Amino acid sequence: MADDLLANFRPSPFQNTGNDPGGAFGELGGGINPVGFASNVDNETADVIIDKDGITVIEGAITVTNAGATVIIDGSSNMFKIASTGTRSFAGPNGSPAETTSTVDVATGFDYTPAFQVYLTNSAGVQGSAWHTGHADVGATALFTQWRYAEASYLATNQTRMRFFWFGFGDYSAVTSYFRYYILQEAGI
Amino acid sequence: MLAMLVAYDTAGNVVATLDHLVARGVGGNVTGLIDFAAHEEAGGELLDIWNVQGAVGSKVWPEWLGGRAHDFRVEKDGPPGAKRISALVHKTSGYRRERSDVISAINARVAEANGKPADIRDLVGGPDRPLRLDDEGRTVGRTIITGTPKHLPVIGADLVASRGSIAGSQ
Repeated sequence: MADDLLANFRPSPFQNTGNDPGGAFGELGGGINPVGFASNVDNETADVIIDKDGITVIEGAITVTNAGATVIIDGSSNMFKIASTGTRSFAGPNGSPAETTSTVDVATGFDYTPAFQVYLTNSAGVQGSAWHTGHADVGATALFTQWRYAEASYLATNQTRMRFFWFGFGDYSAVTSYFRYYILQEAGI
Repeated sequence: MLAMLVAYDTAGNVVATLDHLVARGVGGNVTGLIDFAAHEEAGGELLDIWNVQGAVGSKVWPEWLGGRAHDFRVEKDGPPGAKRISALVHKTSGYRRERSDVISAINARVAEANGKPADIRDLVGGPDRPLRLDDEGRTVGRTIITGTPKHLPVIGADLVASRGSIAGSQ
């Protein structure tokens, strides 16, 4: 990935701006900058550092403005990141009522219960029904005939358990449901 | 090498996939992605990475197939303790996705790149964009994003188009 990104760099019109004591960063681009680049141009309380490890903004924010919207990434308001994703399938229950469950334990490195997102997918394996905390089908008598839902939980140190539930009235044992799951990290890092 | 993990039941049917797993260091800082393939090559237990209820095994596969992976069963070869998935066989059509074919295609693309980064996403998909397969398990292409309806006017489209021409690779 990193190489692909570097391959897309083009020479930049930017010249030295702000604090570049080594004078070595004459031109952004090319991905070669052994010294690094530090800028403290307009805001004395901000510090922007660009080096081989990435872009660091101290006591500031990254502001992206496009038509109709401005997005600000800062270190105070967290965001969700996808720590892991995958798919799961299993057959339905048979009974009135009955339930089948299935689990996937992932070594996320979390020592807490993370947020998650789950989609019930269609037979083509792509995301079909919008589905996260629950999905229910209603029968002719206006009663729920089945519902599927999921939970994420803390299993053990560094282990996250995704558990999928399929509860129903009737025989779904010959039917397979497919799920796409995302384990999310709430992170400012 | 970035790869997907598949878990299978006693009949070899794929019952779960793990597309990627972010690694983190002390304090929770992200350090990269777990290298499933390297762990398998080193003889590591994939139970170190995940555990799927009802599955009897888990191995690496070099493509990302999304939910379509569940249309296949695995075939393995290799010595005891070091078996690999050699093919995914479609459960209804019998179509075979051979590991050797995938690896050969990747190697050819890398050779063509002649030392430059090789884009193999159309060959293997990716954690964020699985390959699109037909009902018989053949590759149709990458997942198609058709975008918003073409007749809707877009603010900022000119700017995006001009930036794309500058970058040359958008």
